[in-house]
Amino acid sequence: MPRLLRRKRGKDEVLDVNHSRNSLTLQVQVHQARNFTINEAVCNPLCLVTFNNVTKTTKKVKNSTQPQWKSTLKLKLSNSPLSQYLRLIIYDSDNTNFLYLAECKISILTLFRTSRTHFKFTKDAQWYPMFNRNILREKNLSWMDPKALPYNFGELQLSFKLTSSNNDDSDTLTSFHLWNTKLMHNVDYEIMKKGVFSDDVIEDELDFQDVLDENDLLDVLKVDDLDQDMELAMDISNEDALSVDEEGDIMGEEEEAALIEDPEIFDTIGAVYGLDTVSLSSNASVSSSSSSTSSSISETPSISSLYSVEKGMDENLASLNEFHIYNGFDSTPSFPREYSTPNESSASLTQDQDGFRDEDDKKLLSRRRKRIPKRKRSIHSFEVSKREHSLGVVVMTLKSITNLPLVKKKMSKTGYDMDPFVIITFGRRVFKSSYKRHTLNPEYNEVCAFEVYPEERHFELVLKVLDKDAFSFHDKIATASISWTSLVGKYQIGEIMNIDLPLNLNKTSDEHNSVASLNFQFLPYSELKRHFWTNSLDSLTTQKDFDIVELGMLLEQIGQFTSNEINEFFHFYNKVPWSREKLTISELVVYLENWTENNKTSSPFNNIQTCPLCGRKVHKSRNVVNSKLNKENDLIAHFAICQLKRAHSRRTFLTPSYVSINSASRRWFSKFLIKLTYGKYALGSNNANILVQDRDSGIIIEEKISAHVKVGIRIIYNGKGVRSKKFKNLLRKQTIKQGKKFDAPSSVKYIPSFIRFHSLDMSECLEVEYKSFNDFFYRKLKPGSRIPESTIPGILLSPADCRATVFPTVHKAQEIWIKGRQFSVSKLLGDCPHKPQFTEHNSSIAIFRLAPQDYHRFHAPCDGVVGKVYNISGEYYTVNPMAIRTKLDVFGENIRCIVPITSPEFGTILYIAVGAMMVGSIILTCKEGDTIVRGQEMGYFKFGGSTIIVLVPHQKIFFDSDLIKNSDEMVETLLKVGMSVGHIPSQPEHPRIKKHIEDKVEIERIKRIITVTDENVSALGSVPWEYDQLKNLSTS
Amino acid sequence: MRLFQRKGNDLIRQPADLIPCDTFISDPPLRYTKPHRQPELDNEQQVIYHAVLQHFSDPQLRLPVNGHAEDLQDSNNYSTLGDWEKFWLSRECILRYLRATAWNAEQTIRRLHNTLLWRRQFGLADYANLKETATSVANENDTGKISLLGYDRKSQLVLILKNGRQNTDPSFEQIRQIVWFLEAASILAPKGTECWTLIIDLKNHHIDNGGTRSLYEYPPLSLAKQVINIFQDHYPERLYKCLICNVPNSAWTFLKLVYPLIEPEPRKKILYNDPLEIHIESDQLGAEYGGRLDFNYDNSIYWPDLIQTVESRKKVQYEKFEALGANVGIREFEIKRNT
Repeated sequence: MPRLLRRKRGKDEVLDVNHSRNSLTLQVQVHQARNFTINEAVCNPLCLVTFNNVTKTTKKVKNSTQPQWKSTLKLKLSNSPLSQYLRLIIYDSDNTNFLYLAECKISILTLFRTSRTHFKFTKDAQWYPMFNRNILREKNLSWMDPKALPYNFGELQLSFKLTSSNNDDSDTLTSFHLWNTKLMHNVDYEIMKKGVFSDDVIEDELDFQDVLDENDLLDVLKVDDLDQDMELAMDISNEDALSVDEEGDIMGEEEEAALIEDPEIFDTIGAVYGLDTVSLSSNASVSSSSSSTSSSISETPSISSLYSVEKGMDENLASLNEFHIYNGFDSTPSFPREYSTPNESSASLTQDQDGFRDEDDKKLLSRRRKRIPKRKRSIHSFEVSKREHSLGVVVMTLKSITNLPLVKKKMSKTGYDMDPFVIITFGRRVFKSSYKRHTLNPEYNEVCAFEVYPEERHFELVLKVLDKDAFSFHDKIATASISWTSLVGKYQIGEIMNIDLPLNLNKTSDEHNSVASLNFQFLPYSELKRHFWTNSLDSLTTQKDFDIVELGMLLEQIGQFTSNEINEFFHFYNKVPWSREKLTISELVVYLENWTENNKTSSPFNNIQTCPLCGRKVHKSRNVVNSKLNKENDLIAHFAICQLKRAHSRRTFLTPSYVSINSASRRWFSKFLIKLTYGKYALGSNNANILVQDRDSGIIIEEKISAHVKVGIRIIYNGKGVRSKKFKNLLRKQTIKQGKKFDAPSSVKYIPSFIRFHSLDMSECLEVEYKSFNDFFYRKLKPGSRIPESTIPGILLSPADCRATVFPTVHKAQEIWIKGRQFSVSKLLGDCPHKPQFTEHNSSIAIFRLAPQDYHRFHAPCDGVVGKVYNISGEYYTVNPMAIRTKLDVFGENIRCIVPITSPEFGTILYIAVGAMMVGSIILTCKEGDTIVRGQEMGYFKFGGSTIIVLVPHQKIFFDSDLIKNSDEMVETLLKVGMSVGHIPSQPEHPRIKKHIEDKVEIERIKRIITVTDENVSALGSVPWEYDQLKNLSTS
Repeated sequence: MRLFQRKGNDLIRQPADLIPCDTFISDPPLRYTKPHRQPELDNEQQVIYHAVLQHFSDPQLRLPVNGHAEDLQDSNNYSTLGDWEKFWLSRECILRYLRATAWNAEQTIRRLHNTLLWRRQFGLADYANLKETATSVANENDTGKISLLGYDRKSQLVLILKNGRQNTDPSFEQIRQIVWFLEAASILAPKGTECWTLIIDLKNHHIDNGGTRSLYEYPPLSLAKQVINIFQDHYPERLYKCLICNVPNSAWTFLKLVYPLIEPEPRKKILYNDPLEIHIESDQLGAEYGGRLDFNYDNSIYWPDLIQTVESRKKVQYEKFEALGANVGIREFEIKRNT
């Protein structure tokens, strides 16, 4: 242990040499001591001074009870301080043994402080009380405890001086302050590492450090002794040899002794006082060390109160904390130093007050920033409270799962092999637990915390249990889900709710009752706010009430407030600011809590840019690709999560670092391959990873592109092919050929493989004999399986089972989604007579994309009369999102069919069915003049993916907010026929309520509808059915 | 090395003929021009002035007692103007506010109202408290961080703020101390003057402070902001020149931060590192600034003397004020004694 420490120290020094141009030296003058022996027994006392692993001793005074050392010891202040306490120990030395007599602990932070902000770096000779830790331990007192005063044990006269290397007083202050900051940083870090927050433990922590030093002290004493005592000179060689020989032994013995007698020394932090007598050689003295009963402090942090922060360390630490917090709250102007990164120069000029403090912070910050990954440009600061903030934060503890089913080993079919792990999903947040080896009743005890937004209230929490396999793909074992409404319905704020969630096994062969047990806790936003302000104010100041000047200084650290705003604080409580009335801290908290609600226009909290706990900035939420779907740049929510992270640091705290369930259950090499071949796996990214959000459950589902689309896209991206006539002809020919082929009765043979490949759920379909493949492709569903969500005619319905994007104007759609260079509404509409009514700026657009596996009939979105149908012939490009976002004008060039519908609510809307790759033809089942009702079938596509575009005059419709939001983030939303898409302005939005899913395998089915994965294919062991066609296509 | 030295350093040399001085200099030198009345107002201004005067002369004018305007509707909480408030509302005072608002009667009334309310909050409504304030903030001035010493070439008072002599933590007391000095300066201003010259000395005097160093090398921004606000809101048109001297490099940051808080009009009056002799004659200037006054601040001598002077002047002026009718709008020129 000591060796390790020493090495570490050495390394630190090497590292720190660079940025400590100005080192501090503490001069301790040890004058004399008195009254430290009990019975005036004669001894040879020497005084040892130790401070952060730097140790010095005085000479020993022989045969004295009132020793006068009068020696000056110079200690260099460590660059990586861990303790604020200077420790002076008096030992009685007889050549070989050192007997502990008394000690004195002095906080260097308070030593030089004359008032809250004033320092004086020379301290004249003064008597300091000493204590004997053995006595105190018997009484079970801490040395700082005022109750320990009667047990003081003698006094020591000391004087101090702190100097910096170049003897400038101002430099001393600067360096000392820097040192403070480092200390706080280190102490914080230690606390973070240990995850322990209570007052005692910190104290003990520091003491523990000292105890560890004891071995070092021993070395120092030994060397000193050998140097000093001439009598021993002749024995030096002997002694040396001995010590070398015995060192190993001694170490061993000591460790052993420690293990036997004082297990707490090395094992727990609780250990404070280890070795009393340090000895060079004798076993006896080692064993004479204390045999106190170990009273190890319970290791579990006090989680009972959720937010156990490092409050009240002691007064000093807390007041120093003030500066520490500054790191978070200050961003810095001031002078360039060698550590400033270019990034920092952007800090605004108006936020600081005095130079040196900022420089320190700056250094610290820059050191921190180095750890933050490179993408600096996209780092944005927090907003204290965003207008669209979350409902609150959910804390979920995955405790255990019991009674998992046996899954036989694949190869040998003997025994079971189960390394279960769990994927927890809520909306866009995906957590993955660790896996437990070979167990059917895994215990996890892992915590995750996430924000819940108002629009996510109809989502559900989904648990998925998988079995980790070393080489093959993970096996799905079970799923479970519970909707948010049912979670919160039972929940009462403040409690921790236990949930036992029955799992639905994937292989339902045997009846098995697997249950996942969870702890659920919900912290509403209002509570978080109060908590945030209480804590930040606590960490900023120790004061309890504030007059106007003190309030001003406090608020200055938070942000920029005008004097009127400061006065408002007082007026709010009917107090008079300038007659020195005071506000209490709780009043302040209440006012700040309501602040964001009071003043929505501007936020003055512009000095709070980083989280006060972790000191980090966060990616702006707008940029979904970078933020990995976390929208937590709301500081209040982040702070709560950050603090929870600390409170639960003993357990595994899961981070939502996955995009979808699929990505979480994937192995590293598949991830690597996907990244390599498809591009970045992120929501809204424009590449071959197509991620779709299911509107019902909020789950992100990935949609793999089937092979023929892949080829199509490849051709599109391959610049040469796109414009060439040959290619167009090819696509057309193939599509027509395909259509003919699938119309033939012989094509029936493709149906089973198609069903298998897409894992289609045929239970919804009308059971009829299919005459051809196309007959199957535009299959009908059972009546009643797609009922309009709402009977109100003012609500526009989804026309198909599809992935939708909606935009209030076509212009906006062009900015975000439709990137075709020549795309325009007029080109889309061709020579349609309704063309003049629709332009880029006055028409709203909804794009409904159908994938091959979808139900391929389309329905009426609203009541109305069908106008003259207008057909435009064109190409057969794919309508895959990737293609839409190329420069190719897919919508403007593909074959399409425009159906004007005159609706009493929406006026004339254009319903455009766009054919796509492999879509042979668009068949309408209605004709001009027909009156259609909402949800009525209007037609169908023959084989292939395709799209329906609906153009509505923009003043007639407001789209549903969740769709708009997803579309802005370039995420498609999975809809079903009959779901609400938008509404007329006079009509409120259709409320999304959670349909209770009674169907057991609902989630799996949703997934199956959507997902066509290569994994599926290989799992089924069959070549994709259209593979051959495509092969022909691409080679011909 | 001379290349990098500031020019200002050359000016500071000890003159041979020092004038010993350890108290406030009660009168400007006689050689300065005789106090002159302010120019009379033109007709238009006369009308506006009278409108304002009329408003405050109204005996029914009632203001909230504790200065909180939005306070209860209860009439007990309102009171008419006190004598000292009328004393403060002199003709010159109203004119100052009128000039500050570019002769806008409405705005002037509002600002005067605000100031009156603020003075009530701060305890300045009654000058009787002035002495108590002085004694309670005495320890703030232990090191002499603020002093009134000498007169400039226009026989206006010179107020010196020495940042380096800061001896206390930022607190409400510091504001009280500054406000006391501003009040004292308005009482002590020689007849015919109403402005003062402000010297802000940013030199680090920490050695004078017994080796104690403050974390706040410069006042916290919030405090500076509050003082500037008080100065601008409640002491308009009082500043003649603000001379900032001995500016160390590190102070520029602070000054740059404070600069935007100052209104454009007073901003023009600020001069950085300007030779002080241009504004103040050497026999009115401390030796440390190159003058001939051998002034070493001693709180036990300077402070009681200053309080005494203020109290006696106050008394004399108030007697004169009563003799003139104890009304709003009496000329300060007539109240103040001749030198």
